[in-house]
Amino acid sequence: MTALPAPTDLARQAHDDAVDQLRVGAVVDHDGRVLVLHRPDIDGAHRGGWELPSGTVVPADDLISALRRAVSEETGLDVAEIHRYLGEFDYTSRCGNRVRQHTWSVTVHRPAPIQLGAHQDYAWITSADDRHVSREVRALIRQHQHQAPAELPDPWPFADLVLRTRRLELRPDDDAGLRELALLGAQGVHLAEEMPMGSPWTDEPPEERCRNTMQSGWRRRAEWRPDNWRLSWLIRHRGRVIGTQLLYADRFAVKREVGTGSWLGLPYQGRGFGTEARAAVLAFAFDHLGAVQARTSAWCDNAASLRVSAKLGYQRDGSETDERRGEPATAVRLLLTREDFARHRPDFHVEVEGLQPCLPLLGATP
Amino acid sequence: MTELANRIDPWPFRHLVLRTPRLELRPDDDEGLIELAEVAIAGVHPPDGLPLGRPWRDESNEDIARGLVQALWRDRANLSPTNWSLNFLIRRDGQVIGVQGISADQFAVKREVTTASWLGMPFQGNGFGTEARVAVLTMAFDYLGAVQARTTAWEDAFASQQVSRKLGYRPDGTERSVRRGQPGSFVRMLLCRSDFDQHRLRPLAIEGLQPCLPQLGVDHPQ
Repeated sequence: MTALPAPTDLARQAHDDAVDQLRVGAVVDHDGRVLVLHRPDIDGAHRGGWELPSGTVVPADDLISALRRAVSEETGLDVAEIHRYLGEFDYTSRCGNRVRQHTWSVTVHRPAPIQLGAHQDYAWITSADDRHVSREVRALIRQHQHQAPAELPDPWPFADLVLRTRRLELRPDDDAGLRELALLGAQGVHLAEEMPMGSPWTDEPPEERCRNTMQSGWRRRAEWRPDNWRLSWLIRHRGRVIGTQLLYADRFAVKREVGTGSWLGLPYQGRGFGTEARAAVLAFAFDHLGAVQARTSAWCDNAASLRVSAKLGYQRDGSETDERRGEPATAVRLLLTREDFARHRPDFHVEVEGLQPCLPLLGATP
Repeated sequence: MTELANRIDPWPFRHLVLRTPRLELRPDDDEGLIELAEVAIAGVHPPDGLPLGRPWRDESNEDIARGLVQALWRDRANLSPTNWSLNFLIRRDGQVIGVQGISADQFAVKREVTTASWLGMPFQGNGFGTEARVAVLTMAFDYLGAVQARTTAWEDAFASQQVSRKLGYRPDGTERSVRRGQPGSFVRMLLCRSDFDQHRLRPLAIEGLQPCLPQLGVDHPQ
């Protein structure tokens, strides 16, 4: 959701961008319908067509006052509430001025009577396709409607999930982040824990390794089921992707167990980032999903990884034999109970945002 | 990182675009997928009969939407030079109106593609489906070197079959399938390169194809 930006910031930005004239516009919503006004072709300043109520900002005017006045002058309606800032678009006026229009969604006290100013006709439309409006206006109306209260279901609520620790931000992967991760992985990784599947450090050419990383990410999303899921978090430090932390579960609702795996880009190892990221998803699993135990594993010769796990409170829980570059190798299985984690967890706070809509997809009812 | 990013492109499809007189077709990305899911929820009718995703309307909106985006992620995840499915989001005036799929198995050997598509209900009946299909067929025949193309339609989807016949497809047998728990039959349609000749879009504006060719199993394009 776009928060209302401070109108003074918008005005300052317009000045910095050498905009000659500022306008404000309104998506007036009444019961899900949006008000558009028709301007005849003959008017000199604009092309004819359907548009939003709007008005010019005069010097010494603030944007919000200008917005209320514009709605009143163009429609005769009183703005009750300004809901959201929807965005801006620039255009060049007939006399060559660079004009920027800022648009908000608003509601009015009463939708009638409408008294038109410079326009000839009006219509309350339910879809941006109901009248011929400009591309910019259509985008604004669509944006308004997509985030209006009667919103369409969100097929992938993970896009808004985020964990924050002291130094790191963890979010489920998206296309742009996956690409960044893939390019990082292609330059060498430090295996903080064993990664079940989707490891990028095989001996393939970099391009193929990159593609494998991206395709593994998409495959995990494609195969997602509430009773069997793999969530790959992108670990970001100062806005840059530095590695990935996998959290997975099978029939979580019954077993209340999660597994983890992770790797970091080579330049980022040795600074405690791996521990911090793992502690973040463990805190997420124990505190927010209601997990009772967590598992991981590490190659028996990966001393650094074993040390981190011991520090977090994991106990050894047997071994497993795996294939590593065509050779058999032994991995140590590690088990962490909720109680052991409580005793060993780092003392930093993990901030969780956007979890609620994801819970059904995680099979979790904490 | 920047250096490597300049040297290699793990997913060149993000720069591929086909432009027809009214439409723009690009392989799916996350943002477009969410928009496509909204179109699907608003209602669709699969003109080619092969739903990309699954049958509609019998599930909750959320399940339909998630099933759809997961199906398209799966196609991205499984794309390889020997077996690929590309799902082009069809946009008109910047707005997603449907999806046009094109897939191939062992293309380097078989030189055959299969297409499927659907449009959102408000966008049907304007020839957009035909325009989108001609775009990917032109890409396949003229740029990838395909020699034939296939599609299928439910036996009672006469409009869809009519479009295919108009484009030069011939009936090529049937296929037994399941539709909402009931048995149903697909009509298989086959299009040869020579039958498609008069329907080509000349010129189809196509950008960014070259770096994608190895991923499509095309070593020696036409």
